[in-house]
Amino acid sequence: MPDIAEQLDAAIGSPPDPAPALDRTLVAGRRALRRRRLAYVAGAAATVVVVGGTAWAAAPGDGPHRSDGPGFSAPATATPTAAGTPEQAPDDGLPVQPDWMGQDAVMLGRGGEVLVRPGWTLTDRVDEVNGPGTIGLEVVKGDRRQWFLFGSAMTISSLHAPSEGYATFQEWIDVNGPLIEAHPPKHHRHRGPDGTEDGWPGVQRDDLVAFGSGETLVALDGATILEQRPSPDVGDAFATAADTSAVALVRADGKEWYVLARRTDGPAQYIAVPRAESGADLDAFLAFARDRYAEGGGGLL
Amino acid sequence: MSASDRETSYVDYVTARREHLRRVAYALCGDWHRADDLLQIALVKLYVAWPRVRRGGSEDAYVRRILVRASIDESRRPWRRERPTDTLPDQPAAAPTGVEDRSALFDALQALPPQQRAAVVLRHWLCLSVAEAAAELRISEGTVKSHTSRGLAALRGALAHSETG
Repeated sequence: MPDIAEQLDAAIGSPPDPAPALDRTLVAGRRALRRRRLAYVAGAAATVVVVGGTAWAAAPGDGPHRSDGPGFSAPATATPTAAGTPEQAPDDGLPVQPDWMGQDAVMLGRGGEVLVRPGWTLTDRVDEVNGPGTIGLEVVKGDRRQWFLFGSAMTISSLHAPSEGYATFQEWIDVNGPLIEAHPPKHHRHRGPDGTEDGWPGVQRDDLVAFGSGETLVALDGATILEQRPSPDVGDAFATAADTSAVALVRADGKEWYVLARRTDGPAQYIAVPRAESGADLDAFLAFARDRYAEGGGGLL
Repeated sequence: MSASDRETSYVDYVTARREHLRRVAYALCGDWHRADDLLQIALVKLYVAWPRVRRGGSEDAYVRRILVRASIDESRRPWRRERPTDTLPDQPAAAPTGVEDRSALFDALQALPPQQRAAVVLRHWLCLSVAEAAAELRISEGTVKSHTSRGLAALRGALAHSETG
């Protein structure tokens, strides 16, 4: 007699039809990734460039390579590095209009405001579906109706509503809302040394700690190491297992910093991030750092 | 990981594991169409987190966790279990698996409470350890044991009834 695993395997059986095309998943994945990055990018100093760059990143035929590169998250340059041409905002004081080519009927602007594609009408809105910054939207154009859920890491949409057993927008929100995650802390609000919003909280600091023996950090003059760990595993984009790396919580000048340190082929690099802006403890900071580097590198600086 | 590496490795993984993951989703929710929806949600999340998940070498576990959470979330909403039957899908539906084609064992599995069902699927179909199942379900190992014990008893009862009936 077959065991329970074999019986369950037979009972579950095989799908009755082929899996949906993977293209749909990839498109949704790229879109979700872009939105995740935009959540961090929003509010950066070069706001005009951000909007232009967003449209550029979302242009038709857009492969993942355009917005997945390490440089994407740095909003300070207006010079495109790929074949696309980011729109330059006219310097007329008017709000920058997004390029809707290749976009959904609705999207969130850099400040989290709802932008509705021309021709569509916003007919319903549910705020804080699942925490701050999560929004449910219904838009209509003629007899077409679409539902959207925006969160920090992904967007869920029903492109032909009502459908799939959801009789109403509220029912769809009830089921899919819990899957949407709230926006993370707005690290991009950090102000850089020159007083401007620089987009990322990390700064290069060579005056706090230095590598001692192996992956041990030692405090430099005026600094005190409160806690440290070797090989923090922030991701290969930061340091591989073969590299020398460490992280420490450091106090200096009455302020506490997390310092990520790495030494790969060249000189050691020390990235310092104010504790107040990057997590209550070392675990929280490392989770943030992993997310940043997982998004394609570039990370904290 | 470069962007092209990211996408290539993601596609390789999904292509290799999608059929299996569809079956996992189906085992959890009992409906192929909903299974595809759940898997789509999970794969989109996986895409966003791909470099980190891949580095950890726990791709299947990551997707399973999302599938379990989504299916349990859904099952907690009463209206969902009473989905209107007069709402037509936008696309022609594939032939649904008729009740007569579904085994008594599968029906019994679907009749289990969602978390109990998930525990049975993880432990006794996918053969995860108690500790692994507890981690994926975010419950204690003791709770996994009690869920699977009760779940298996229900399944055996259904099978016995089916054979004698």
